[in-house]
Amino acid sequence: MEALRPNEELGRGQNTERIADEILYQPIMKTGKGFYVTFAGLSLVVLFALFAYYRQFSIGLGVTGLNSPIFWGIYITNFVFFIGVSHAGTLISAILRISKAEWRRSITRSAEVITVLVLFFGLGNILIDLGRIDRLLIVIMHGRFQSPLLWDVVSLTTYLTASSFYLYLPLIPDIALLRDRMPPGFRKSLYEVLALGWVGTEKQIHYLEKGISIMAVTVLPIAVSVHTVVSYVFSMTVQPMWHSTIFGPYFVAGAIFSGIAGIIVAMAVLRRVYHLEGYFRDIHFNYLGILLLVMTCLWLYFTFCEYITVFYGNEPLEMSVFMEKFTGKYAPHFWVMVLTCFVIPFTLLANSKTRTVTGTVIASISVNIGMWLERFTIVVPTLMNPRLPYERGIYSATWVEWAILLGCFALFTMIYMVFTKLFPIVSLWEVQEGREKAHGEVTERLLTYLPPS
Amino acid sequence: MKEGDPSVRGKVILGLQISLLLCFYMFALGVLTFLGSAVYRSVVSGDHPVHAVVLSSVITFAFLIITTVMTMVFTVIIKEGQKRIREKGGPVNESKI
Repeated sequence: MEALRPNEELGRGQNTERIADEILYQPIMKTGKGFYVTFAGLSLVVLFALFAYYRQFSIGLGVTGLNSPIFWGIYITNFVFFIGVSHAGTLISAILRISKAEWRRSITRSAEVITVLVLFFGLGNILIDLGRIDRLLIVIMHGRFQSPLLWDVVSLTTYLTASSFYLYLPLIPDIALLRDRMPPGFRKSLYEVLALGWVGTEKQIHYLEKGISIMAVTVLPIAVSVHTVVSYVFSMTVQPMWHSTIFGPYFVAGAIFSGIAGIIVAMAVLRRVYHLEGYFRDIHFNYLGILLLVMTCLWLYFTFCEYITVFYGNEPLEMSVFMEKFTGKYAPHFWVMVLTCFVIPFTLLANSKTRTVTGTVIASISVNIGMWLERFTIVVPTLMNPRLPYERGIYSATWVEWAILLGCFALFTMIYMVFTKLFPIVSLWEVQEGREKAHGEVTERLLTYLPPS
Repeated sequence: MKEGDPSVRGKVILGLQISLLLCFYMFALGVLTFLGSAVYRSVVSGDHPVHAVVLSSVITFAFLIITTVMTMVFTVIIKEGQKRIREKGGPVNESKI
């Protein structure tokens, strides 16, 4: 963290470095017409979603396609999907930070923001699914630790807290920079409060560095436990194709898969909108593309293991869910999932000629669509074929559910946009530290790997 | 916040910074209370207390780590910032990256 160290002798030389990163201040200092137009358009979608939610709240869950025995649908699919995407930031950023991957420097912030924001949407979808929000109080007042639902509540709360601090701590030096250059006004006051009086003394740097390191190590097991616990909501029941021992790792792998895809899409949008080609470079997309390729293969492996076990076991109820996915009503969902989660990304990413920025982004969008469908095909077909002698049902989502789904994506984009207007979306100090110090560090590290000559 | 007396302004900002930390303490306390009450209920009603104790211990441990880190980082940064204000008249335009 040499870049954070006060150096009175540096004087004007340091300003040269600052000018190099001037483009990172541009979104914060200036707001173009495009921002307002996009914001207004997204606001309309959110308003429509709010209207849909108002109808659901006033009339009841009857306005959705949910009914016995299919009592979970798009909302729970969204919940699992959003929690999965949340693994984007914290997990990947923490892994890259701990492993001292130098190429992480410009991408960690944009990933960490995704984590914190989508977690709110994951939790929000649970509240929407409850119908009446006041039912949350029942969980708080009468929750039992015997229930995986309560495990979810506590692990998500811990994850959200840890992720928020993991986002905030590396933001402090950047907030201090904004405080210093912002003209007097509300935003300057906001930065003054949030910068906590950061001036970059030796002691401040030491403790911040220590804090970030501890949080990076702490957040990893929490992140893994969160998606494992999300999978337990399904696998701790004895429902066909839910009661599986590999659901924990399967969900975690899927979460990292959709998380990486989420980061790539966000980076591509930021690069284009804010002209950050110098920060989100082709090499970043290439490395993330390779990671995505690895996760594509891992996803296929887990999916194969999951389905071959069911097929070989040939248990009648399990097979009815299996066939529902392969040839039944949810076959289109299943096969589109296979296409978008494996065929498209593998084809694009396995070939270095197509693993370009465009190719990686197409693969990532495809993966995100596929992972949403995967969550859907996990949740719904099983409920269609319950073990108990309920009447079988068919689930078709209504416009209310689709509107709320669209509203979630629109609101997420809006809040992400607002974040980029308040804080640098690339970690300024980490980039500068990289310029000043990383070269020597990497050389030194390299020497420790190689046998002495 | 209007640009008024710098010392008053500094105190308000310091107050808000400490409030941030206090808000986090309140939140953490709320979570620990929730865990405690869930454990209490499970012990009193004999409803799988081992489940409750093990799970709430893990979460409590995680929250203790987060609280310790936050306290350490907040107090050191705030104290150092205040020291600089006393020495040089304010942190503004002194941050170096």
